[in-house]
Amino acid sequence: MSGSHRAAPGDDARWWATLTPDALDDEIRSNRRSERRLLVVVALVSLAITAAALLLHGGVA
Amino acid sequence: MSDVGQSVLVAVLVALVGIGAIPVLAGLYQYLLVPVHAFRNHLRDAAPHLPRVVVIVPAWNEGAVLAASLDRLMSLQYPPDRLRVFVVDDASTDDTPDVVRAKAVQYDDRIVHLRREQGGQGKAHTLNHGIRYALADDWMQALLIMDADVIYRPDSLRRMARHLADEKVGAVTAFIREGSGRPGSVARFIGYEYVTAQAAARRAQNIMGAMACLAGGAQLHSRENLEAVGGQVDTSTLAEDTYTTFLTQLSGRRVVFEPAAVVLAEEPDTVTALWKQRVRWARGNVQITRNFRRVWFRPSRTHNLGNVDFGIIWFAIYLLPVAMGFAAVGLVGLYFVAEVTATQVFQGFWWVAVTAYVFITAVTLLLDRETARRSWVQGLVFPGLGALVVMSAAWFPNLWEERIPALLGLEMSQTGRMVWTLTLYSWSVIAMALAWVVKLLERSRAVRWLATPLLYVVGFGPVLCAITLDAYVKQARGATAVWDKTEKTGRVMG
Repeated sequence: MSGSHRAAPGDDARWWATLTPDALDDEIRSNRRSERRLLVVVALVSLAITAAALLLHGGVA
Repeated sequence: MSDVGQSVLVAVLVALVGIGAIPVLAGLYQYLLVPVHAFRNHLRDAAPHLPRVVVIVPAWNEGAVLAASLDRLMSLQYPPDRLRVFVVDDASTDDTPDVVRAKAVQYDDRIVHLRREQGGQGKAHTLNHGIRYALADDWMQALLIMDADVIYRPDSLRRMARHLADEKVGAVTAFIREGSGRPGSVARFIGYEYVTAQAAARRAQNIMGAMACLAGGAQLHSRENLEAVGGQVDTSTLAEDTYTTFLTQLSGRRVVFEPAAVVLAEEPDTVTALWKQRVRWARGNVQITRNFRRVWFRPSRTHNLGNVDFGIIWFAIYLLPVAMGFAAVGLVGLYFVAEVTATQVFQGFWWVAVTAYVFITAVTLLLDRETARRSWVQGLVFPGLGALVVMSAAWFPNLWEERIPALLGLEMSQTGRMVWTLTLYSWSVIAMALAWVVKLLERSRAVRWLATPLLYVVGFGPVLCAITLDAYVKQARGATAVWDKTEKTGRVMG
């Protein structure tokens, strides 16, 4: 069983909870992907908000 | 005063304001490192690994919270034959022993009750009692130190343990999230603060390869590491968790923060309780700073604690109240010596602060959306409504002196302008002073209701600064160092 074969929410969590080496390995890979996605989005959105604030300041001041 | 003297004085005052900006820049630096964690983290060196774990739960009169906590531990998604729990009962006078014995029966003796007849010596002594038992047996391969009131998410322990597959890692810590069922303002502020201090700062510290502190309620050590640091935690300071964190790294092992391992904790919900807890932490940090004085700013091949960036971040937090004081003295001094320069420096200083505030707040709220849902208001006003007014005054000159009064058909007098300007320039110190007032109001029955509104005006950051300052004073006076337990009620919701 691999991550690509599961579709329903909670499937991953149940699969990882089996604690088999394959499941644990899959969890690590999935967490790496989640971390990458989260932080890239956080960085881009935060930089955009900060830039917008600076531009707004430039326009108003 | 001669022109040269005046120039020197102005330069010194500007430098004081510059020192005040260092903590802001250090905070910004840490936050800029956070996205790097997307690509550089220890998960690439992690591997499926389920060592035999002994969990040490220090407990003093924890009857109200212990049963739920033990049930949660026993339902962790971890092989049952690889998990044992030692509850170290620190001479409790409530029903803690009965609760533990009942749970030991329920879970086939996977829970062990260790009783200390002489209690009250502090958490470190209690932990060491359990650690001695754990090390006396070869069974234990890793040791988890936690607090009695915290709740581990079912997947948290295994997510921490996978990092110990890398022998270079000595200890792993998790993300402690404020998890009270009905949090008040203070608990919500703490929830937001924990995202900044853990989810964000510890990711940055993963990048730097130097960790400031393993969370006291979530630290998983390999057996080898525990033995390398002396087989016990430090009992000479009020920050035994930080001490162990430093010893681990000084012995050449890494400390890793795992953001996907989440542990819920109940935190204080009054400024008074917060003050008591944080004075202890801050005094512990004073002791750590002194005890490890030969580590700072001395890069080493075996550890990264001596790296310049880590040192600047450590001291930026450690000396934050002093830096805020310097900034206020610099700006007020400039006002009387060189008013135009004062205006320019004030705007420059707070321009940096506004940029940092916007970026840091955005990252923090996006980083942990569960906390953001609960604490977004507290996140926005974390520096205080007063500081937000100061920021707006720096960004939009004459907003408060001219534009807003003009809307109301009013005009500010010269004296009014002077008082207003000096208030803006010295707000960082005024806010710290008002933080004491919040604490005093909270203790007064008649005007207790004023404490929460004033807390929002002052902000949580300045409250923490005032507490740190109080800790310095207590430490300098040599006040008795006691381990005051933070009262818990079992409000944490898993």
